[in-house]
Amino acid sequence: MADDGRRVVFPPMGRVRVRLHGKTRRDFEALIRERGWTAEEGVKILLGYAAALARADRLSAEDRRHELGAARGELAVLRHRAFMADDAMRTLTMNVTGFEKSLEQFEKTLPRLDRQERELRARLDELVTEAARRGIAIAPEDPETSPIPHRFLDFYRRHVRE
Amino acid sequence: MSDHRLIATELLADDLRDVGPLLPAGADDEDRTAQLLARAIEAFRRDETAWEAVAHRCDPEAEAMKTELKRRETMALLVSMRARTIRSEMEMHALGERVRELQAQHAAQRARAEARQASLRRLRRRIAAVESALAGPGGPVEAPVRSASFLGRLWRRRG
Repeated sequence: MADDGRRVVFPPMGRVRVRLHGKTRRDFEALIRERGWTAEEGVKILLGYAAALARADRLSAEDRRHELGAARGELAVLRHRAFMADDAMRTLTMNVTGFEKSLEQFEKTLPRLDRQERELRARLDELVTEAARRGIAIAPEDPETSPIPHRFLDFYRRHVRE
Repeated sequence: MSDHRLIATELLADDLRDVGPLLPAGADDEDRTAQLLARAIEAFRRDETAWEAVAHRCDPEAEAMKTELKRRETMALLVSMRARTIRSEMEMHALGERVRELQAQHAAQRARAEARQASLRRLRRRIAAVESALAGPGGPVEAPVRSASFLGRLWRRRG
């Protein structure tokens, strides 16, 4: 799902498997070494080369120029998109690490807070029982009372937490 | 040691459709693709030599040849780059989804922790109020039995 809630649809991809041996393997490995391609890139580029060759006879000189211009434009756009995606992935990976660490911390903190809450409730029960035993009336709790002024909380939320 | 090398990769389905009719006849797809690759390597090497021959020439025939050779190479790079870009964008998208999930989990856990903290504050205030009532004008009050903290026990032992 995209950020604006729309579903993202990617063009379909297809798998290619190739088994190289003998001279073809040696020629392939020499070429990718020379060009600095990975084996996967080498296969894709060479298959693309075969497709480009197959079209050569069907194109006029004018068509070739146009096709070259369009291909260069598309290549520049794709390189930019790949760069942006890689860059975004670096940031997203850092976010994942940060959130995972933070969630790990919550896994440790929350049981401790639960335990503290149980202990304080037990303590309160003891005190309330003691007060009842002595016949001392306890004023009911005011749930709205906060010891921290709201203005300070607002400032804290606005400038520190966000 | 086996002389074989198996390489698996992916292409855009549209690009793969262009390659399909070029595969030589045969039953084994991996082998047919290898044969096409062998032909492509041969053509690529031949075109490298052709480029060397026309690179420094400026006549119309050489210019037309250079355009065609550049077109072939750029189209080939494009096939690879399309697959690489789409794969990167798919991974980026999946990672974005993962971040959104973690963000939601994080917000829920933070809300839980804040609720616990608020509850602890309320309980402490309530305990202080009850303790104050117990110690109130009714005179000195016997402290209710409570489990001593580590520091409390240490202090008592020192005293």
